[in-house]
Amino acid sequence: MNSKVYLRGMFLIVFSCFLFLTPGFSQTKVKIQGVVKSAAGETLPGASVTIKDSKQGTVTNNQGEFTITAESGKLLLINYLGYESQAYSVKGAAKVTITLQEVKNNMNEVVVIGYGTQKKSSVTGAVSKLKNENLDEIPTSRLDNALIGKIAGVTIQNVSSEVGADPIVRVRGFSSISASSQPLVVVDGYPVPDGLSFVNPQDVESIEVLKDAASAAIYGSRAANGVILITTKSGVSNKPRYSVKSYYGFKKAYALNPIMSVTDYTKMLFAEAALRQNDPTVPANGKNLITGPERAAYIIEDQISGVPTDWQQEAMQDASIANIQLGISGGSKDLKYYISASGQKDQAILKYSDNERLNVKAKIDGTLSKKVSFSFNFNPSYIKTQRPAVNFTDYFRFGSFLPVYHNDFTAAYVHQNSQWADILPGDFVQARHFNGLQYTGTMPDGTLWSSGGPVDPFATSNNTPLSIAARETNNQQTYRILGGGDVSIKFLPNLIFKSSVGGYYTQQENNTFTKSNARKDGDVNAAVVYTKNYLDLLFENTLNYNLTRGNHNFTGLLGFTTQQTMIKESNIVGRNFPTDEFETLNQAAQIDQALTKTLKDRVGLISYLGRFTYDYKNKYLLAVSYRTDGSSYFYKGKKYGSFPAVSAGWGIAKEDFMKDVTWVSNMKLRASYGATGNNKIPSFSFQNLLYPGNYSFGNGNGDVNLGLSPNSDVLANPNITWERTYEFNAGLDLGFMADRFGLTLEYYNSKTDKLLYKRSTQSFSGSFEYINNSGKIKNQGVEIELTSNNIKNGKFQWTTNLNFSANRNKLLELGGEPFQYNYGERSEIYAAIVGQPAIQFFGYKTDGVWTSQAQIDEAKANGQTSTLAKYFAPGGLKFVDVNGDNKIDVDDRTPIGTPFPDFTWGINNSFKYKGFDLNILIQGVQGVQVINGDANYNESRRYNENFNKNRWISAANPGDGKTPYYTNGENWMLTDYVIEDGSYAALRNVILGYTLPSKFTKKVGVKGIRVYTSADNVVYLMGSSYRGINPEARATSSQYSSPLIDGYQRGAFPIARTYTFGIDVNF
Amino acid sequence: MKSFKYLTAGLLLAISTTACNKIIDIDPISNIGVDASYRNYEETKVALTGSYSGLQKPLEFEWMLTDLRTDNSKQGVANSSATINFEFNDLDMFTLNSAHDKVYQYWLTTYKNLRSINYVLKSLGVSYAGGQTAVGEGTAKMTQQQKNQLAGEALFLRAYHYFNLVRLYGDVFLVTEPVDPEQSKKINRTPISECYQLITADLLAAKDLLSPAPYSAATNTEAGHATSWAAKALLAKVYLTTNRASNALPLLNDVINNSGHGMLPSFSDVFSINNEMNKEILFTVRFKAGGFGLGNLMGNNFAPTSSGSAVINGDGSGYNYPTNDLDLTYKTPATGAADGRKAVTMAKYNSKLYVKKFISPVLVKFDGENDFPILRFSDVLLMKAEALGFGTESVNLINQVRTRAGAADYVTGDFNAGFYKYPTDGSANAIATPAQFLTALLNERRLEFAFENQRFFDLVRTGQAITVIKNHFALEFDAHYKAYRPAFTLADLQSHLTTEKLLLPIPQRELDANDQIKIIQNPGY
Repeated sequence: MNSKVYLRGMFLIVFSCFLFLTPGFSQTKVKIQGVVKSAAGETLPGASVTIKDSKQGTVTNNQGEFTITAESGKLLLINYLGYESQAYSVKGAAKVTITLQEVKNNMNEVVVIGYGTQKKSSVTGAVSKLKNENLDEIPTSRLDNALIGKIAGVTIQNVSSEVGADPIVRVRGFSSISASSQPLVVVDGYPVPDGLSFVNPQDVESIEVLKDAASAAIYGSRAANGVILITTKSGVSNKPRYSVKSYYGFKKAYALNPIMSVTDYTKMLFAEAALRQNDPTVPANGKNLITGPERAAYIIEDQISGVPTDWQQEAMQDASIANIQLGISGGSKDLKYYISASGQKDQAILKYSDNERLNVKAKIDGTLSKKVSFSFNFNPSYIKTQRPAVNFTDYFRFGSFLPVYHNDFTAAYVHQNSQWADILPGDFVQARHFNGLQYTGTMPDGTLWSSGGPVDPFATSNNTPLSIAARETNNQQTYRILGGGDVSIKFLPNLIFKSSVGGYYTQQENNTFTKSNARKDGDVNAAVVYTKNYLDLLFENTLNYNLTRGNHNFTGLLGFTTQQTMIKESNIVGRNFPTDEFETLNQAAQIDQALTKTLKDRVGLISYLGRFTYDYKNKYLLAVSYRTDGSSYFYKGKKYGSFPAVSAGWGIAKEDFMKDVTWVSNMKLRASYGATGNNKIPSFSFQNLLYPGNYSFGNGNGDVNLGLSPNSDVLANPNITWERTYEFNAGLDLGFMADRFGLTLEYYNSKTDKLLYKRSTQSFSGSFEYINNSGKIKNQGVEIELTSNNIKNGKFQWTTNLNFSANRNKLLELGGEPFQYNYGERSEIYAAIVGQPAIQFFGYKTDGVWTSQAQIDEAKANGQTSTLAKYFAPGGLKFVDVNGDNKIDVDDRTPIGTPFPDFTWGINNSFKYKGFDLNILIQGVQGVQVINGDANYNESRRYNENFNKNRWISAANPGDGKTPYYTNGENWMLTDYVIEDGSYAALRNVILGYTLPSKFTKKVGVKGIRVYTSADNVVYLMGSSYRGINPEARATSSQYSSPLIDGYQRGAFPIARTYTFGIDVNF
Repeated sequence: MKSFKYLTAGLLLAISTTACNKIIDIDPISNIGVDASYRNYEETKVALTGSYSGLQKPLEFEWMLTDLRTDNSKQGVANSSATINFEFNDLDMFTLNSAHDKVYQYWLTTYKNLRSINYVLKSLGVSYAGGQTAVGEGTAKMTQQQKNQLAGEALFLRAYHYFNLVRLYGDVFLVTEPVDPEQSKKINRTPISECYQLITADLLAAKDLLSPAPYSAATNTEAGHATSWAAKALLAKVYLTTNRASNALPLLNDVINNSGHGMLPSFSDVFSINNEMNKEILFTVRFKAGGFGLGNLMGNNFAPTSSGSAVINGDGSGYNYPTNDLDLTYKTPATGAADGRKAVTMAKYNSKLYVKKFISPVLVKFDGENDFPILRFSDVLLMKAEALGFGTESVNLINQVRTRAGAADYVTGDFNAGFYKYPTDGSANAIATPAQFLTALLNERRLEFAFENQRFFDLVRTGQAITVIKNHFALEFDAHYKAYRPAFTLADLQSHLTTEKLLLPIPQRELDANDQIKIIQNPGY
């Protein structure tokens, strides 16, 4: 990737922010007639119109009209509450329309913080706020996906292209190496484990991210990874508003792997063999490396089936996304309501992957008396996800010579083997159908070849991926209810007691049904029914106090909360059903006792919290908070942790000495320090548990005897307690030219100690990991948020929001150990080395390939040895002797890359011209590395052009000297050969909308109509060394769920490019 | 109004102090902690059953480290792209390195069970120190008889695991009680001789602790537990391995004369799933079909690939591919006496050989009933022959095993054309030298115990491994190894096998995990 290009692009945009023109002057009095309207086209009565630097002025009438006389060259200022003020420069007599924009980036804006709200100007921590403008127009199943690239310090990575799949969300990078680095998500005050997965983007009013420890500390125990607060919309006292919004779109794959057909591949093999023929250094038995099965496969593709199968295309479907939303809101002064319903159906471009969602939300806020008010919230939802049974890898690893379905000719051909006499045209082709037959045909060089005996062209007994996907279904249904209510009592006008009770219940059901012969011939049909009940109860009591005495402002908060979670899981596996159509478990001939189980778990948390803030004239700000949490995750005596925080701010712009610096409209310096915690580990990790280990005793076949065994992979530790993060944050908020330009800078430096993590231990103890509280990690970083109203006049507006974040982490201590190695699925190593980033890929550094035996002999003559059995092989990778002992062995392994990005960035540009609006989001990640697990597979190495182009063939034809021959030498997965640049820059999303003129909409009886079209992933630039198709993809399951193992991808699914069309009608 | 305020505040305080502890002081619901178990006979017996269960998992990998590395078995598909076949190739051709996954999996699963066994032994008060295993006071309360039984069985299991480990990896880490992570970092490898001290001490204790009741007197429901006879037979094998044949002999005689175990008339009955725990079985790792999670994987693992349901329901993986040489070593002439063991041991599907010994019909893949024998009576007989060394009595022992397999008396003609007992009359075909005896003994053990993971240990024990395996490379070269790409020569292939490579490497992550003491890898890795 060429980072210079992006930098240049960013400079351009930053520079352009400062370009605006000032009008000329003259001195004649003229009459201006005007009308003031909102952006939505509504006229604004009562807006004030004044002439700058004079006492002259007027107010708009009921039709929003005004008339004023002013000298040419003077500036008219138009103000309206809740709207940004606008200036109009008088040039001559004119009839004008002034369009005012609703207030957005205003310092009087209110920001949601934990257990309360604060004016933005009073905030002393690092809090980012995102107001929902068009989140619901981004075509995705999930709210988190819509947030990509929008908030500095928040990275969201779409690790899977399955619809509805969880992305990785990180606030300020990698703050913990415990079981989880996911931030805490709080929906309307309710901490939920999966809030970003089910909240309907339309219902979102705003999203606040508490980034620094001082802001997050009020959520103490679970806040070390940051807190994301989602505030949903409420009704406003108004006439009822109705809205209907709908969009429809379709998707296409952005890029596919360059997989060769077997025909092209065999031709390449023949070309290679021809080159070897003339190379005297190639031994006679190495001249022609084309095997019988390869020749047979070529014959099938070239002469029997006739057409190569593009399995990647076979994996795809014409995917669409459809969404409809209905909303009603309104209310009186005493009772306000907001009700919405939405439905969405989203298909992935991969076959058998789709997602359906239904959301309903009802929120009522009421005032019962002067003292008592209440609010009630009810939010059921339903999500149904179909997950594909096969990974995309299985498709692109499958040889192109096998057709998907049999035709007359192929069916007849496999009938040669009496075993397949029943195969009919239209049946799925399986590799085994073509095995054990004799093949005769013409080779690419024109020669006739005959196998002479039975050959297996493809020795897999697995079925083709498409037939597996068609015969194995996996559906997941999740029902959720998030509901609650609270009552607030005003004991005194400035003392409010609030008590709230809430419940969050989810029921998840997974149904997997595998038909007979699904994955292999002879597979028995089976059903897996998994159910999970999750019930969480929250009880919160808070007391809020505020006091203003002259220029002194105090607020105080005291609170007590408890949260209890009960989890029930059950799994039933039934096998051998009489038919494939009948899935009732009663019909299963066998219930698999080993896999059928129930599990109950519970978690408890109790917390006490307090916060006190003080400010003087809103200029000098101070806040302290304290929270203590007790958790059931820890053993007696280790249960409680406390999380204090302090922060301060200085409103410099309000100081007298800044009075004359008019172009600075805001300047605030902030600093904070606080502690947050993390306890996301499995329950009861403080004791070793016994797990079932049954055995059969007794004569004959014996009877099952119940056994128990302490056979967990992870050893327990009774001494574990809270992991704690201490973070210092310094921030600077700047506003220029009446906040036309806004800049926020943050610097943070955090240390996490008592790290909770699974540490490697000696496997001879019976487990390879144990959970522990040791070690320290340091994170520091910067974040920049820039808002610029580049052009703002009645007709045309252009706003740019830019965010940039960079984080560096460093492992400071690891329980006295200098390093730890963690292993991935292909034995690739992720090293945690003290003094270095917490994860580094670890292995051999390569230096091209051994081009010839002569070269190897020379190295050996120079004394080079190796303990690696396959190391000295021409065409194999050549390693760097890192420790210089002339011996290539495990001691030459060294850090060879890291999965952490250098920086992430996003630029959002929005344009408005008359009724048109255009929003462009560009986003990227720079300097991140990935391990390409596809390189492990022979099929990829053979058929994927990224692995076979310019490869070594022989000493005389060494290719580019960098690409090894796929079978030669040591395992690629242990080397830097598979480490690639995962950086990208994407034109992530473009939305173009048009709001119909109100003249027209009034005629058809509606308040407003907007039509829009949106496109996702329009341009996606990837790193030049990157051999995959989706730099964001990551493996996240099994060993990759460990926070110390990251950066591995295999079978990455193509990025979807989505186009949608939508309409939004308001009544 | 004021009283309302105080009431609320008081309520708040009351809730906070009383409800809290109940919310966070909770115990697991679905599991029990180790501290809350091992208190009495019942609980400890359940834990011992868990240790028997742990015998199963290492067997998933054991054949890869034993038979696959001999002339019995090979990786079946040259140039296969499957990861597992790469791993098999590295074992089969002695090209593996210390990061090999299966070498690690066997290690981990074995040590995992040792941990489970050590928990049992600890609760029974069994300790090992100074080369002696002693039973003291443990935490579990029970009668002495109950304690002896449980301790004896657990010691047998521990010795069984260590015996395998030491033969495969050399100096291993000797762990005799549950260790925590901090302790484990201080433990280095123990020399082979000291490992054998533990194995011997455990088995000596086990054979005395366990009841000497003969096979016929065993309780119906207890079949499958380790017995005094199993301990004696295993100890005899340990003695043979450590060149103490004279110590082995009395143990073997005791088993032959007093155990009540004996040979079955038919070889196939020994492995029949309708005849499990038969008289010939001294110890076996038990598997059970029927969806209990206790099934044997070998049936499906060893059945040929793409055989659908023709060999076994759910298709085969084609692992543990028999060599042509083994196929030919079984004498099965068209007429006359034939070796009945071949048809039980292996078969062909689509002209490809596969291991049949552990295949029985399954409803669901990987859920086989077949037990996996560890000690059989024929092993005891052949061990006795080995302990005795060349002589008439030992040839007769070999012949006893051959007779059961269907061997006829040799009268005249080409001895090697048919399946005959060895003449003991001094004829030309009689075993005449200790070398010939060793060849005949190893051959018999190979045929009798093919795919029972004995061959590798037999070859190493008798010092024949390098010769035999190099010869096997030569025999299979044209038909099999020549097909690999990139090509290599026979000399290349044979050059990988050195005496050092007969030991597996200590898994690399075991070395990597310890930063406190330096652990030395086996030479050659």
